[in-house]
Amino acid sequence: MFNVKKEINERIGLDAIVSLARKKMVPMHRHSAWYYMGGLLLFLCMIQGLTGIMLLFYYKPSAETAYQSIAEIMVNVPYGWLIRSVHHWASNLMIVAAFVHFFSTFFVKAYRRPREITWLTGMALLVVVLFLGYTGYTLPFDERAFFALNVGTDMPGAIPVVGKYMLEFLRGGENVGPQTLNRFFALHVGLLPAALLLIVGVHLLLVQLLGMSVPVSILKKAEAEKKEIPAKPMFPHLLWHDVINCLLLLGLVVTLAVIMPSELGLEIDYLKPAPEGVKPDWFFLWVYQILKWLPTFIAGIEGEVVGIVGLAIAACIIALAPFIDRRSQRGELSPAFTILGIVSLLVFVICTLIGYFS
Amino acid sequence: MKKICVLSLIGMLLFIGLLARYVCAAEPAAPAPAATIATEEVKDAASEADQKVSLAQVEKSRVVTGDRLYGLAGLWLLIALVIFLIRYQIRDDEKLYQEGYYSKDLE
Repeated sequence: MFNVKKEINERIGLDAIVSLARKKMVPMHRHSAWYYMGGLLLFLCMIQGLTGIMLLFYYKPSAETAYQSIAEIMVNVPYGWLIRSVHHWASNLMIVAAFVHFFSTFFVKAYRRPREITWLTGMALLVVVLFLGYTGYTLPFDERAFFALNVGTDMPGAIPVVGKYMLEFLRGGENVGPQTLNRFFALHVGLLPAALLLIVGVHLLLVQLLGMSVPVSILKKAEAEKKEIPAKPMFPHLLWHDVINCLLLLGLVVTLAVIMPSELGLEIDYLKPAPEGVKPDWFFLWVYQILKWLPTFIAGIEGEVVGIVGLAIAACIIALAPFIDRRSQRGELSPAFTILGIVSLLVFVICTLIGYFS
Repeated sequence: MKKICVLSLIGMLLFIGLLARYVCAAEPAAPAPAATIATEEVKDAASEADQKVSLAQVEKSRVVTGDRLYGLAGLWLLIALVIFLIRYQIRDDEKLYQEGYYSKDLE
């Protein structure tokens, strides 16, 4: 009888891969739960890819047709409302998961040698995921998207020297118009997913090559007690747990999509003035809130410019943490960077909440 | 393991069914090209307006119906069943691991 498994094995040596996977161990300690975040993020990426392709079947990317095609998807296409809502909620959860993964990695100092490049690719992934969320938010081209485009593209416009060019590049002109939608569509379905695939590939390869990082505190404790850190095989132990988490996440995404389907705002009226208190999507609210608090001028420089430059410097410090945090590199506890992480997390959460409710 | 595969297959078949329904939906016919006679132009514009999906229709499509909740309950049931079986599988794997099976090379 024809044995599919045997035939495939003869050609690509599947057993060798399985044998290798069985030998790959994952350390088990009180922070092990954070290891699952990467898997969840990857699963959400897969949902986004699949539902995104499905939406492309009916979405018409032009200023005249985009809004109506989304309305068609919601009303006339079978399960269109579900596919769009799953895409919407999975995107929001993907951003949440990316932030949780980022902060957990930062707190356990998983960026220590030899994982500096893994950290940098992770930071790049966070940026790509944020921009995927933002560009996707604008594609329905409704009133909400129109004002979000205005507010969002204004922010890079405040960057000194290159700001003007960035603004024109993003808007396709001086003002937000039909041409802006084409640019955002190209970014959302072309450039950003390609960048995401490439960076995810490198990130996963590095994770497989270097294995999981163990927090300094756990290493020190094991060293003091002269005990080995317990470990379990990645295959099938971690894989099965990953499958359980992904199934629960799938249930959560579909539940949110059914209970709170994705909305569609009013059609764009270019002549209508922007309403009071226009806000960006929730994941950029913290930036918006910080910039709102700043005075118009600080030491003769525009407040917005100072804010953008300050935030960019803060982001650079965090991105370069593996090269600045010398204590962690020496395998010592580094409370300064833990405090930096706590402050960053508090600023992010508090500013987002204030921005949302104000 | 076989039970998990069977349940996953059921889940996948349901998803493929949904996918087929979604992908095979007929798109609304595009409005006819602009006519040269003024009366027909008016007619075209009117039928185009009729074909447009209104915001009220979109809002109606967002209502949580009984059918949707039944579907959701079905999905959670399938997920719970698969997780239940995976837990068993993990227990078996744990036993094999304790016996040193996973440290052996495959022949």
